[in-house]
Parts: sequence; C-alpha cells; structure tokens
Amino acid sequence: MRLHDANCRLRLTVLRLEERLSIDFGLPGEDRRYLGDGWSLPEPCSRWSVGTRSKLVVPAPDVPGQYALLITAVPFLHPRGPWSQRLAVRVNGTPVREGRYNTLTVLAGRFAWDGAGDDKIEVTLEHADAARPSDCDASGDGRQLGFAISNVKLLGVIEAAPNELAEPSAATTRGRSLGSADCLPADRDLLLRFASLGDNCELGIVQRRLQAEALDLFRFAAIPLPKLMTGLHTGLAGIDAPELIEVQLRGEESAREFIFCHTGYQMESHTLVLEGQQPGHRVFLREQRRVGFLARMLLKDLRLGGRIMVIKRNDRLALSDVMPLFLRLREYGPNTLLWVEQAGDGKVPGTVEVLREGLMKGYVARFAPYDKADGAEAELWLPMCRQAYCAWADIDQPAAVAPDGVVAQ
Amino acid sequence: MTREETYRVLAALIGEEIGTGPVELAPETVLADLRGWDSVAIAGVLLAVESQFGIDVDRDRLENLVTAKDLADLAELGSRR
Repeated sequence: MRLHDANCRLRLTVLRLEERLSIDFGLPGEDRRYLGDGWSLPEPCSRWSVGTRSKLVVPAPDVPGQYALLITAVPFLHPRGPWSQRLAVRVNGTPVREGRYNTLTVLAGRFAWDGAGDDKIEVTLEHADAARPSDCDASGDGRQLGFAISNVKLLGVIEAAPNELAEPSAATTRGRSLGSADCLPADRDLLLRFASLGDNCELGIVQRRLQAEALDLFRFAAIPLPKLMTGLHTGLAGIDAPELIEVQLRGEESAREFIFCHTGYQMESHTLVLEGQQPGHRVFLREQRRVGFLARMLLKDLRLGGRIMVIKRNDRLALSDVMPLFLRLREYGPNTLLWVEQAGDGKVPGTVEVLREGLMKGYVARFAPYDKADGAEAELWLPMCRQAYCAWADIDQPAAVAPDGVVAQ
Repeated sequence: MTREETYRVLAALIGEEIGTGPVELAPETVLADLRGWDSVAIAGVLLAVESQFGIDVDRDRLENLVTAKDLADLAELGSRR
C-alpha cells in the first residue's frame, strides 16, 4: 500500500495479486515439466530440492509488468543443527528474495518483467545449508536436502485504482459523533471504539470476550514502536507488498498456527488459521489482501479520529516514547491515544488520567504475560475502558472501583 | 442482480473465506453464528464484497452488521450506484 499526499489529500493504492500459474509439487502434482537441475524424486505433495542449488523453468508472463513468485517451502533441519536453512531466490539471475527459515514458510519474491527476450524465466533456489540425513542417522538417506517445495505460484502484481480517503467532515472531526451517546454504550459497542496499536493480542482478546470483533490491523499483532512510527510516517507504505510478507507455521506440534510476518515492519500477527485448515499459500494470499484492507481502514480511522487508539507494552513505556506517537497520530486527525500501564505507585486500577487533550493514561491491575496473552481478563480492562470512553466522549464518568472496593478519587 | 442472487453470491463469498464451501444464508441468519466468523473472516468477506459489488466499506457501516440481510443491504449499496 502506498500513500500519496498531494494537495493534502490522502490517496492509497492497494496491491492486488492475480494468479497466473500454480504448480503443485510432488505426487500427484504436475511439476515435472517445470523442473531443471537439483531435484529429488517426487514425494506425496512435495519434492525436495537437493544439492545447494535447484532450478525451475516456467513460462514467461504474457505481458510486461510486475510479478511475484510465491513459494511454499519447508527446510530440512539436521538434528545436529544448524536449526535453520538459508534460501535465496533468483529470477533470471536477479536476486528477488533471501532469508533464513526453520519452519514451513510461504514467501514471495517480486520482479519486473519487460516482456523482452525468452519466453521462459529461470528460477534458481540457492540453499547453501543443505544437509544429508545419513550424516546423523542410520537411514542411509544420502541426499543433500535443501527445502521440500509443495507449491510455486506466479502472480501478477496489480496496483489497484487509487482509493481516496475522505476529508474529515464537520460531523466527524470529533470522533465522539460517530455513534457516541450521552451515556455509556453496551460493553461490546464500547470496546469497538478502541483500536490496538500493537504489542500483543491482549486487547484483542478482551474485545473478543465481549463479542467486539473489531477490524483492526494491529488487533492481534506485535510491532516494535519505532517501526509503528515509521509506518505512520509513510502511511503504512509497503504493508501489502508481497515481497515483504511471509506466512510461517509456528507453535506446538499439535496445534501449529500460521503466523503472518512482515519483514519490513518486523510485524507479526496471528492469522487464526491452524495447520491443515488451509494451504499456506492460500493463507498468504488472504493475509496480503487483509492487511491492505485493514491498513486502509486504519488510515481512515486516523483521518476521522473516531476511535481511541491504544498503546501498551508489558515492559513500561515512558512519556518520551508515547508523546512522539501521539503527535504523529494528531498529524492525521483529531485522534485520541490511550496509554495503558499496569497500576502501581498509588495508581488505582480502572482509572484514567487525561494528560492533555487527546492523550490519556489508563491503569489496569495487571497485563497478561506475553506467553499467555490469551488469558487476558476482560474484567481488568473494562472499568478502565469505560473511564477512557467517558473522558473521550465528554460524558459523566462512573466512579472507578478498585478490586478492593475503594472508589478512586 | 436480484436479492436472491445477492444472497447466493454472499453465501459463496463467505464459504470461500471461511473455507467451508457455500454456506446456508437466509435474511435472518446471524453472521456471528457461522462457524469461523471472526474478525479475520469478516475482513476477508468485506474485501470480497467490496470487489464484487463495487462498494467502499466504511467502519460506520459495520456498526450494525449483524445478519445476512444487513450484509446484503451493504452489498446492494454498490448495485444501486
């Protein structure tokens, strides 16, 4: 996604990926006619690349333009290590992608095709860490295994027509006009007003517990604060660029989940898709579209100022971290930032301080640990969210009651 | 596109998004009751609806998106243009 700021109007372009060729590898795939050197015999649903280099030859696109190769690959990991393998992808000799992988990964390399020359393109996979199973077990398998490839797609990369963001109207320059009322809305509706700016999925889980399925880019995402700042500075440029996206299977063997990774923003996000539910390449294509859509929604939100943006970190933030973010948000529109901290130093859980117009600091009794964010407790967040909503919507605030029954002053 | 066709298209879009194949959709179907209907699926369906029906989904239009009828109404905003 790119953002232009000509004439002070935000214009977005969204990248749409169109499938031109899909090759299923292994049995019962049809990969044989595309194979060059460096491949083993087919196995069910995949084929190993062998040696340190393997090649594919695929038909060149019909028309000049931008294209992407989408590759689903699983590295062979030698029991004695290393615990990952490097993979470099070249198209007609030009590097289009490289990385180090330790699990099933769907990755993309992007290239320009000028339409001149041969009617085929040569794809080279370089896997310098390929290893032999026979070096560490009694299998007798002496193949030097790189990656098991299950699918390769050739995609057209289409820049969709610009989608102009609306100027904030008088009716919406204060976010509270978007559905707010003189009294507290129901919990679900209230929680839909809050939008996480990334850390972990704690607020997203709290929203889910209250049936508030908010459509937010960072709801189930982690992104470093400096990268978030970069994203806000550039209008989330490149958020849907296929060459910056990976989808990886992570987690415990019994319930591995596809995780969306953005290498540019160092952003990771749950996809809520478990292994076996959908092919990885399908998850990739869905996530690429989804982040573009949600980024567009976020930029609209920021333009209109109709949500309460939430920033938290389990390891504390300082005002010097938060203030640049707040100022960045205010450059977009009349936004409100809620900075959430764990209560302590005499601060009462459930209370909110207004630091200045548009900037609030709220307190919850505790955050869920990063490795147990799915245990987020709605009852710890809800009183603070109510207080924040009241301050934002400028309505009378209910008294905050601490867990020990003390009413906050 | 007739209302019936709209429901048929939406059923296919939703089924494609949540990976079940076409779902049964009646006007009163509560979307949240569909298996796999979460924020990830919603985003995918709305994106598909935008593309298929030529609309631009705004957040304030999502506030009351509860039933299949609400989704059909949203989709047909594009058809009326």
